Amino acid sequence: MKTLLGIETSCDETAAAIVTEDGRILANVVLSQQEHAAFGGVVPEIAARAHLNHIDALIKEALAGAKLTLDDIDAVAATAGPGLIGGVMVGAMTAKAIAAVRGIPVIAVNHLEGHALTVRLVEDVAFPYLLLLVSGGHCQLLIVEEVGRYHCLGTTRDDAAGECFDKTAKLLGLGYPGGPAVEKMARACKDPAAALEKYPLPAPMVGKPGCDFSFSGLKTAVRQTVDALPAGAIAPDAAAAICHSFQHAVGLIMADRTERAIKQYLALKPPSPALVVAGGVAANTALRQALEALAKQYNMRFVAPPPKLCTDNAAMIAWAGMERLVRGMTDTLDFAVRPRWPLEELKPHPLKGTSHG
Amino acid sequence: MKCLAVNTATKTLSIALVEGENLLHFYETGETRDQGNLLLNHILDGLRENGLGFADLDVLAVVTGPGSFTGIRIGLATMRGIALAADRPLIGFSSFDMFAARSPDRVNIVAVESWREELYFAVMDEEGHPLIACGNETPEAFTERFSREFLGKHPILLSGDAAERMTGLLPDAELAGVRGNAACVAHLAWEKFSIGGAPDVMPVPYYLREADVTISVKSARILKEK
Repeated sequence: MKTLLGIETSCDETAAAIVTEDGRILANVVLSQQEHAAFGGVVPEIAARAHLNHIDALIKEALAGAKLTLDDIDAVAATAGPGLIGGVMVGAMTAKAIAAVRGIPVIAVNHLEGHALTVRLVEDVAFPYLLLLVSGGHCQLLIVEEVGRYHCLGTTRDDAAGECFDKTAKLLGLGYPGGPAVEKMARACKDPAAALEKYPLPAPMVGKPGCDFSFSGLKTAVRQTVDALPAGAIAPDAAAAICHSFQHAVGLIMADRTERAIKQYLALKPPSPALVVAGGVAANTALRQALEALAKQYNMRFVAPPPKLCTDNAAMIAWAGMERLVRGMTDTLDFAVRPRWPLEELKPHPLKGTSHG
Repeated sequence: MKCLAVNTATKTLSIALVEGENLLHFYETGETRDQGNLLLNHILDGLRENGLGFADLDVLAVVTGPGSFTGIRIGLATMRGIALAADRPLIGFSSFDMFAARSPDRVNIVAVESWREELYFAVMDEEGHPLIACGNETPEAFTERFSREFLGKHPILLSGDAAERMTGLLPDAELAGVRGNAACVAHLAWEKFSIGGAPDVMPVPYYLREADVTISVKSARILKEK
């Protein structure tokens, strides 16, 4: 039974976790950096500084929480990209150092692969499955064929969905991070039907061929809507109505794009069809409900990891590392960190087929 | 007594392995672009050549800056990781400590490259400790302030990896020719460790500059309190 330490430092969460080969999470500590709140977005240099200040203490905390020492750890995995490179570097160097000293394998994990495989840490989901990955930095629809093999059906042409949530929250003065703030505000909307009429927002790409996303038009429309509000402080009712209308538009986009992807995916006749949603935005309840209904309509299993494993964390990095370790896909101490690293550039293990359920 | 020291903060990366006064291994490169990727391999090479493991080291040392922000973090993340995994003490030294000329009868100015117009400066006392340090002055501004505050304290001895950028502004100053690398840091660590051991706390980065942040105030509006 192998035990693996995972490290995540690619954005504004500093995290360390320990998972076992049979999918037990022995520790999962996440420190969300509060330093960025004043700026309404993540400041890369501030993030990198904060990661360095905290990562070793978090690793100690994870080990203590799991009642283990480094003697019990069989391999170390760290996010090697994509992400804010200053922070990624901190986690990667820490992982390399621990692996070098302890003489154990190191695994350079693609952050997106972490999100993509998380579901297999909590549920028994077989390849291939359809994945909607929606986070602060990414928005794509993929067929997960095997560890290291991803087929991208559609991606965003401009902003990520999470970015759009953050921007909306910022425009309305709701604070950062924007996802939970917008969701909470939308729930407070008293008359949803009237909100859609009073503050109509566009749903770009809906009805268009393919599975690509676009959010810049929606972002601009939110800005124009907020600018058109009476000067001075924004009335909470108006903010709630705009949040509802915004979330409604995002839901329409997601459902439309995902439905097209489902059709492509089902054409491949997968043995046990499943729609998986992952990434920080997957923590949004309204969105989950819309996608769940869609999956039901197509007789697919719908799986969403618990919100705690959807937002950035190190358990997902440890798990992706474990999936690679058991397949013999380890890395060398000179692995490079990469600010940009599309999932499609990954490679499956050359000697292994798709037999790993 | 064996010490592993690493400097990734300044223009030239270096790694030194010393035993007492003896330099067992030294590696240096000005090619710092992929330094993070290769650093651990260079460290392992040094240990392997000498038939040593991390457990044989008595103390670790790292340069904490000022210098390249990324370089500072590469060195500290690596050495703090090694300290954690090998359970060895780690001592931090500044770039000024590393470049200090330690002259009894002259004022030592250390200038460290920052890759921007303003350099990192320190005026050192004769023991090699900084009297003042600053990270936001151009060579011209610093020279003017120095001439005002340290009037008559000449002659000046210049050191640091940006020392040559100062010679035109301080024509009477002499270049100290201090190498300033991981080997110097290993000796400093050896000195410090043999006298007082290592501190209990992990060394922290010494950026000497705030992170650059530009705030967009345009888009933020305030939500009315209920």
